[in-house]
Amino acid sequence: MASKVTGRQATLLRVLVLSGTFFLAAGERVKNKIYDEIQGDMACFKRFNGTHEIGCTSKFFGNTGVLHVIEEKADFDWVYEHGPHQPYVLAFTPLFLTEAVLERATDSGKVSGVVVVVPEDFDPETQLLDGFSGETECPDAYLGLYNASSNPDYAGYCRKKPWNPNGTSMLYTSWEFPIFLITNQTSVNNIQNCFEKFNKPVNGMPRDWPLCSLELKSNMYGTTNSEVCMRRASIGPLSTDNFCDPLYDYNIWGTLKPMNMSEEIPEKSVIIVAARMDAATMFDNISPGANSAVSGIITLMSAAAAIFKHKEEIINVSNKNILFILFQGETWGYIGSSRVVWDMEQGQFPYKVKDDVKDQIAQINLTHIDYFIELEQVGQPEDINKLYIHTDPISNANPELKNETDNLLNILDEASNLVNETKFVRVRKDVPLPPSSIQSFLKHVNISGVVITDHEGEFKNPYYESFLDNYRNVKYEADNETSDADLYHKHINNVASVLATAIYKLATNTHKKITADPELTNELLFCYMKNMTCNLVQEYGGEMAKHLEPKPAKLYVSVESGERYRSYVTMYLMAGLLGDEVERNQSDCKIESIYNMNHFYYFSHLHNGTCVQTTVRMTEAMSPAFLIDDYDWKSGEYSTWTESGWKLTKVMIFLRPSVLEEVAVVCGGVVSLVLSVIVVHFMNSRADLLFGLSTPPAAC
Amino acid sequence: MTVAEFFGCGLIAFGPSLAMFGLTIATDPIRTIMLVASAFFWLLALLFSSILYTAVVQLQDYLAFGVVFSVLFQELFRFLWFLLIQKAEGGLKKVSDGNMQIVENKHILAYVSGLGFGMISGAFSLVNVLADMTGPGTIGMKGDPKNFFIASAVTSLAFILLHVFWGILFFNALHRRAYLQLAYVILCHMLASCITLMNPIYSVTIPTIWILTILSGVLAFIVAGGSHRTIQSAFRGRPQVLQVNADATGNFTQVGGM
Repeated sequence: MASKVTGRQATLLRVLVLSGTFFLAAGERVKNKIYDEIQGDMACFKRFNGTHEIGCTSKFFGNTGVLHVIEEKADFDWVYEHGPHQPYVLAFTPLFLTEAVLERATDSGKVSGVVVVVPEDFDPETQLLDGFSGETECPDAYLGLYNASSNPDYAGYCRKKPWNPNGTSMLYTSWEFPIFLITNQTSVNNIQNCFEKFNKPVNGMPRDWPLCSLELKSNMYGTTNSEVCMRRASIGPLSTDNFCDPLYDYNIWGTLKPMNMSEEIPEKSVIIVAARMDAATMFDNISPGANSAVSGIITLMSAAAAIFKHKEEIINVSNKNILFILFQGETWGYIGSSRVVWDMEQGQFPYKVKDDVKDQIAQINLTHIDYFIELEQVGQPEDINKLYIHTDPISNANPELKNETDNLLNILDEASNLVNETKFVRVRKDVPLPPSSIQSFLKHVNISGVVITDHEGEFKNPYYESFLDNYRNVKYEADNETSDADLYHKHINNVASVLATAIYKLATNTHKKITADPELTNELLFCYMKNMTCNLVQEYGGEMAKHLEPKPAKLYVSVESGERYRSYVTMYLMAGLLGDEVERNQSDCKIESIYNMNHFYYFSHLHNGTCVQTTVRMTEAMSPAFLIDDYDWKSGEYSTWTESGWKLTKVMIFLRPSVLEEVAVVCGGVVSLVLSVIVVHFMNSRADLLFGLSTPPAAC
Repeated sequence: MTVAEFFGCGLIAFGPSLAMFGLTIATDPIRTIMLVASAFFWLLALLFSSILYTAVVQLQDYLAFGVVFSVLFQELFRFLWFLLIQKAEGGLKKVSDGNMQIVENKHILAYVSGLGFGMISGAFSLVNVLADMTGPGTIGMKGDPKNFFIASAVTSLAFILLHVFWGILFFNALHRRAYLQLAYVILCHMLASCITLMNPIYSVTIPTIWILTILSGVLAFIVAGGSHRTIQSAFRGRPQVLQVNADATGNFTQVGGM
């Protein structure tokens, strides 16, 4: 269907039109006069876990329906009670994107699809007073640390005091019709204009045909659940498109100093600094996660860069190492962190021991971990100078561990005093941890760790894991990479400074005020929050930069064959921040083996070509559930999320004729045929008389 | 439009030619071959029009230019086709298997050729539109006339019929060296084609084209030997004629019926 007319074809067509000589001028395809394709890349799609399916799908040929734009609540009633032209495709702003609305639409049986339009002047802050989050009230709880806890205080904590009170679980619901998000203003206007011109009821009376209609195409291949879906895939897919694929991406990490396998890593010597790399929404191609993820990512990167400037000092006095890691797929049941833990337990983190590889990277296991510092949402504190520290009540019941944690808390406190910008407040000790990657570790090992957030109890982020969690939500106001007026990047930079100062103290046991670079922080924030074609990405992104659009980063994990540009770009940026420039030309700037402790990256757009030696690399982030033979899909041990395959998602707007008109045309056609059969038969059978072939005798 | 309207418009435009083909052409292999061959000549005309159109880049924006030359090419190839079958008459006699009707009655070959031209031109002009009709939508969202499909089908039908009539008139003119008739065909084709440049003012174009169609039809009918008297006798029916010339008519019907 999506055939495009090439130049030559177009010319031919035009001539065809000429020789027939009665069609539209200019030789445009008639199709273009009937259909307008509008933004259709942000479709709600299907995902599966071990037991359920979630998301949306259209029918194979798409869902069509008469467009109805909902401007106020009463418009719903009009459609359900009076609207005679069902099925309808409803269009409304995020204001009406609630479970109740979607459920009523499903129950009415009159709705074949929904488009959520976001006009330019839509201001979530003043219009969406209740917040909006597609997540559950207790994100990731079922795969977290406390789910199986015997202590009801912890296991049921979130249900009593939800972390995410705005959670609608909409992301985790299976809808019967396709749902699309439309943010492109031309498309939004197109919908609005077409509705007003052809469909808008006049004084409550429905308009007559032809009516403006939409076709939503987002047919999903997968069904039922991951187990069924993966089993089908293993039988052998019928086409190149899979029924479903496990969620898949790469954890991005690097250490301050290289770890050679020939040197033993002391126990409790690796300080892990972690943040979550991914975010999700109901819709494809949009997952800004400004506070959900970016705030943590940038704080970590900025702190890592600041620490790395003091690398030599730390290495000289300390045998500790620092591991900066960005976990992928944490939204979907802690995929990245559980994979790291699994690999560590299997003795294969980052890789199994290889023979014949020189300077091989050492293996890290769970006993090597010293402290664990995690950054979750840190961008929206109520009081700009106040962040909260969460600790785990279960593991800290152990007095030895409690001492370590207290030490860590003291150091963080001292660091905040030293930097004197951001204060830390410890959350009550009996409150369990909010959703965080450290839970994956604590399920298997007792380590002392903290989770730094901007919230004490419930999330300060009203749009957790939604498409509205963008730069507007966190009030990031910089319009370019050098804007100094913005307060947000200063806040993030302060947190990074405190973190770097604390890490320095943890590693060296000496106090030293370390300040992160606010310009770098701002540049990074600008890239991820507003424009992935920013200068930094151009310099470090290499080939990957060409594929990115001038839009906020898309933070969804995707699947193995999915889009991975922002993961690579993030790794390159990390490599730049945690790497040393070395004198090598482009051809020498490469690694012999990925198992080497050092990697080399060549940035051709950085100072006319720069080679960087670093420990930064990426390791697979796919749930162990897909690697364990005979894994029990219902056990709830590891994430089982998969994503459905699909061919295309597309939205078209067009006019639909009335059935009466259609019948009339068909009748006209039949009449034309029957009449001509009669006439031709008459003329043919009496051709001799009609054309005077037998006139001579007749004239006689 | 929907599948329903696809069939509706398809039948409106191609119903008559379908009936003509089924009842008068398909029954005779020679006629079928001649129809396809004449359609091929129309395609050649299209090819040359296209080459000219592609070559003259400067005039591509002027639709009228293409229309005029396309018409001229079509008429030129109609003439070439005429020359070819003149030459091939001997051969035709051999293969016609004792049935001399197609050679003796020149109008039959003219009619077959005209229908070949008409069907192929109708197909080429409407198939694009028909193909785009199958989706769920109809035209009109962007301010285009809502009756575009019907108008296209009706215009297509007129052109198919016109080609049939022009075929008869054109061949007759060449046989009898009646150059006025020849001029009429070319001018009528030119007028009918050029009037479509006024689209989408269908209230002007469609009546004009249909007036030309009826006029050409009447002329073709007369040229082929018809008159109001023959119509009357045709309506009065066969028995009278059978009495007079039973043998000849018997032959006739048999040939037509085979």
